Amino acid sequence: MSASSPLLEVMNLRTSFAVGDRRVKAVRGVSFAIADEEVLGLIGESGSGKTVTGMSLLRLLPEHAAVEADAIRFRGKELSGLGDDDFRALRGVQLAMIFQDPVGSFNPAKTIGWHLQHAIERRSEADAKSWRSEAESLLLDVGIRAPERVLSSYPHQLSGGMLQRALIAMIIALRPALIIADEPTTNLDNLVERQILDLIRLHQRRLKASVLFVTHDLAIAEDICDRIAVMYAGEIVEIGPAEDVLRRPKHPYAACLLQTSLSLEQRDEFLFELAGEPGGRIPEEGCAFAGRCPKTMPQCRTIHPEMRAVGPGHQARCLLHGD
Amino acid sequence: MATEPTSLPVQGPAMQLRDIVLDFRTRSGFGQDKVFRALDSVSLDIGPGEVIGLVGESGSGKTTLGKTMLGVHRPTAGQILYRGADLANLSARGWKPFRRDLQMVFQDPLSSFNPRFTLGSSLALPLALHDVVPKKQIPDEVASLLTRVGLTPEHARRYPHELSGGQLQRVAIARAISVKPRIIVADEAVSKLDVSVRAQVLNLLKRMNRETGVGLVFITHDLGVARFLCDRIAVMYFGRIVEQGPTEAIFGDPRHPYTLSLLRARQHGRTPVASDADETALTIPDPARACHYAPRCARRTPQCIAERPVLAGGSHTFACFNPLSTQAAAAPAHAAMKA
Repeated sequence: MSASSPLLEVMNLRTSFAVGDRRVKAVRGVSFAIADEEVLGLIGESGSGKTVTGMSLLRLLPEHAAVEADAIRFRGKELSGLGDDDFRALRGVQLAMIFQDPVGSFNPAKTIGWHLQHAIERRSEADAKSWRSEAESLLLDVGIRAPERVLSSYPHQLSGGMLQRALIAMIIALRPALIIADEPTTNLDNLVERQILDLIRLHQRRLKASVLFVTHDLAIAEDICDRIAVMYAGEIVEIGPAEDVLRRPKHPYAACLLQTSLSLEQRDEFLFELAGEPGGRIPEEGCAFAGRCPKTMPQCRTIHPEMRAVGPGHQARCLLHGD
Repeated sequence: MATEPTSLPVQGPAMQLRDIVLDFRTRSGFGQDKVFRALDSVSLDIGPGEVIGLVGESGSGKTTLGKTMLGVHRPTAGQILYRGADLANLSARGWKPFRRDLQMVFQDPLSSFNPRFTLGSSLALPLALHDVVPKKQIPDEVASLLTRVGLTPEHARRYPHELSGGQLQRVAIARAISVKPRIIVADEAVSKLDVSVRAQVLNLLKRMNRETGVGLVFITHDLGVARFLCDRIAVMYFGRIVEQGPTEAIFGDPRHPYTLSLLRARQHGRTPVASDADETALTIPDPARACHYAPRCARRTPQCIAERPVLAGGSHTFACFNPLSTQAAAAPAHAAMKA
């Protein structure tokens, strides 16, 4: 692979779950690439497959999930052939994940210090004796003023915001190349959310890491992402530079999401409403959004649209565009 | 036993909270119980048909205040004036005649319905309990309620798990309005919903307020949503209301530093906001007398540590010794909302 290959390249990722005697397709052919030091936002509503996409990449799904892909390349190296032990060595060091609920990322019976020590020691070159001073400086780096106290605290003794900070400190200790952040601020208050986002952005730049940022919040995505992929019903329906996707969306679904948040901002008398709800049964043929789309045409019910270029580095999956 | 909704006086608030204090005792296991003051001298008027937003971070007491208005918590001190009575010291039985008037919509609709009841029977129960309509008309009333919230009469035969979160929240709203209440407390009623569904439910709440004149106490941490829906907003911090006023004033002319930092938190760009991690940096001789916000406040003066500011002002009140000046605050606040 040449030096210019992306950090992560995913081609035609398909994830399905066995439910009873049928298979539910959660991710239906997702392809994207993340460049070095890039923040790619994966946005969508519940059931769009955005979380499952991240979990599939990190092999964190339960047994009854089937993950297939034409390629998952990390630094040009195919990951799907990697054994579980080799993959585990990669995950948590090269590939890190921040979850919505930081509590689940900690062992409740161990102190924050214990976690940081293990993170520091896991990064092979770290000197085991100096972990405490490094841990303290890491906690200072994430805005914790009293690192000694936090190091001796147990997870349940810290607030959600403080715990998310401690988790970010752990991740900085590992110096990963790619961080998958799944709704890392959804459970937090607005103020703390802003602080955590600032931290993620700051350290992403310092570490020169790439981030796959999963969120349902357009405002957050606009704030933190370089590029954005919009997911609907297990597919990416639009992908491109953040500003293009959020300011000049081409796919009607992305346009509707934007219109909803704009009408809140503009203080409309009533908000723009997109009919229907996400997460319904996906039709066998045609466009998955056709049932809710304000611009549905007869052919949308029968033809499944392909991704088409709609601008520089900007693609959309809609029959209104391309050709 | 039916309670007829009495006609409200033309003027004056529907409900008045006067200096509500609520202490929670926590068992420490050893020695003395600890007392946690969840609500600290909270006063609030709710006008008839008014939509009031209670905003603040988690732990600020907004949900506790909402529940206190409905008699879930009995306040340690203070008055809840409603229809000429003080509800604050009533027993559960004493609250009974007022229950019909005061309804609640919760964050998680799934857990607020009995999973073994069809939605039709869940809706029929309060109609029968409060004799809202004659028994024979209950099925028709259920059907018309479902239609009013954008569902179909057919949904009455379904069970809660068969509906999506947004549809179920519509049923919860239908149940709340079914008994023709005066005030509905909606606690984070849209925060679990998807973006596109949230807009539908917010529009529904606004429409119900317009059509029925029901007052809404809308508890949320999302300022953008509060701005859309609310006539007035009360900003809570640590069990107190720190600023309260018409929605326009709160957004266009915030005076309390905490309100401004909440507004800025949703702002694009790089305005630094106070950090919860800064709190350990300050020692306060007597926290009971200091301003609650002092440890996080950038405008803190020695007075703020020695004395506690009280809510002051006319229709727009704020509790701060060093409030933001009108001009300074106005510029960033206009660009603040991006939700």
